[in-house]
Amino acid sequence: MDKVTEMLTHIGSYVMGLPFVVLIISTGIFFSVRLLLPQVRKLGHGVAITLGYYDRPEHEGDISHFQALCAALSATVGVGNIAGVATAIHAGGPGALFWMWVSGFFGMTLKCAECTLAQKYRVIHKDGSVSGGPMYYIEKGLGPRFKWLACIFAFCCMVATFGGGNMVQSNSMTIAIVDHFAVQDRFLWRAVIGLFISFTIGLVIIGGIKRIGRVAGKLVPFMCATYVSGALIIIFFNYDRIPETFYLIFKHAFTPTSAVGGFAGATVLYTITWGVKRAVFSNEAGVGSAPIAHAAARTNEPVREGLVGLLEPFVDTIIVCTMTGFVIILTGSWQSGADSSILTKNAFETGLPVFGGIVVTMGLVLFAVSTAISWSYYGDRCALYLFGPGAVMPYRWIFVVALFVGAMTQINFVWGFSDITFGLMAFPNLIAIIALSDNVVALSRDYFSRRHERTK
Amino acid sequence: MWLPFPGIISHEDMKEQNSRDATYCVSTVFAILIALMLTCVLTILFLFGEWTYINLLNILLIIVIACAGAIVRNRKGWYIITPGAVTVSFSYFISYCRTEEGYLGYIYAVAFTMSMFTFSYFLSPRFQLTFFEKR
Repeated sequence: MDKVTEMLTHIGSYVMGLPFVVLIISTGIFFSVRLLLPQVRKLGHGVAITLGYYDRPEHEGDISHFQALCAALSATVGVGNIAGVATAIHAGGPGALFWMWVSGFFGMTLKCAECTLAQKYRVIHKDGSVSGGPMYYIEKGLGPRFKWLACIFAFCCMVATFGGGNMVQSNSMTIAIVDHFAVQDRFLWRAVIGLFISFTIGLVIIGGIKRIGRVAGKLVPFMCATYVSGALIIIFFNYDRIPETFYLIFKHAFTPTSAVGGFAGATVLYTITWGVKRAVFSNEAGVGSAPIAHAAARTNEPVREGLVGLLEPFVDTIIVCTMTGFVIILTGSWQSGADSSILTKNAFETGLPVFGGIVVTMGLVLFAVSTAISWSYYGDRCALYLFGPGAVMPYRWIFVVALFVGAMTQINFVWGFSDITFGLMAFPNLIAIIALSDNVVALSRDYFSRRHERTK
Repeated sequence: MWLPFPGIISHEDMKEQNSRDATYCVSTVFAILIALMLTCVLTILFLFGEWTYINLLNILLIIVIACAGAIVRNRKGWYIITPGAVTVSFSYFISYCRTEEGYLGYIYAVAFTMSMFTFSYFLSPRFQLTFFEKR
């Protein structure tokens, strides 16, 4: 079993390696050029849409723009925002944060393009519910002869939901709680926590996207506000070090770094790779997961949802990841040699004694809960696409059971396998959005050529 | 508003456009993609001195793709170009896996991206119509 796990991890590192990262960033740059930097020009309009200034209740869809953004954000803002940033800074030095910003910046257009396509090619069922996402825009946009590509995406996405979106989350959540309270009978407590997680998340996901949207609409602002507030307090108390932090970030972005415990004689390319990799995995731009949630938004204007999707990498990478990175650099913990969530926890405890550790543990738990909730929706839309409406409820029940299994077991095997499927689902999606880039440009041109009245 | 490359929504919209403009655009994009793919493979060969069989086969395949795209504007051409671009991207991916991460690894990743772009672009409605529409 260990050899199989090792082999899967090895394959996963190639699938999600440099070619994957270069392809995603290139596609982001390609769309930024073709759409003339919508992440700069249309950011304000995106915020206005999200705040409901253009909401029209008569439009088709299951949830509001804000709920769609929260549902997608709840999937992307996850453990990667706490542990991933720390890993990037540990391996690539403070300069990695700069390259995370660059990646987030181009990821914004990529997300805009895929959410626009998801809205354009979504399907409205007889009961009024909505399904959309890469599998639909591959089939309807590229033509029925590419249904096989859509099926590959749907299958990989469905498998990935059980790994990165389910067992990995319940496992990391359980470990975070058990470690924080340093309990004696770990097996019993893992079982109790596992049952609690399965029950709570089950209550939400059995209710479908409307309930997921309602819960995400409350949970995401709360968890982001809690975590960002904790970070901001630390930054406020260390305001004299802010210029130095910026200096370190910009200096090490373009000059080789040698972080203690990290590496020696690193090159700038190494820093770029780590920064970009972690940002791509954190904001999921180009992977094709978020468009599934955005397709459910109540609107008849595809570009409008694209502009809402544009905010997702902004919140995830440019705000939340920056907070984590700032605390790590500001407190000097980046030179401690620690890695992953331990590095973030150490940094928060240094900056905010007693409460810092609680903020990180709470952040880990809330981020993991929200990620699992939203990924269940992605999986159930894929199950619906592949096997029809009868597969949705069985999928949700299996998802709930898998949460408990994830909390109880060592999941290296699942992690390795889901890593591969996560990478593989990105390829059909990227192929489709490049192929349909003309459509995105045309839709965008059409939308901005018309005048849009605010509803409030 | 000016936008780089004109955009289309569907086959129907495409048909309404001037077919000469569409053909011109297809040729331009195709030429750019082939030039980028060739630049990558020539960099690998001449700058890094990676005169391996796989790279020589790649350059041969890119020439075949270029010829198919330039000469044959029918479905036979499409059936040469798309599997050809997939094969090239797959071979670059394998080459990347066999290479330690370094500058060569980056060039392989860029070459992989270029061939993926070529393949993806040929799936677009614009290209499908150019190659599949009876003229």
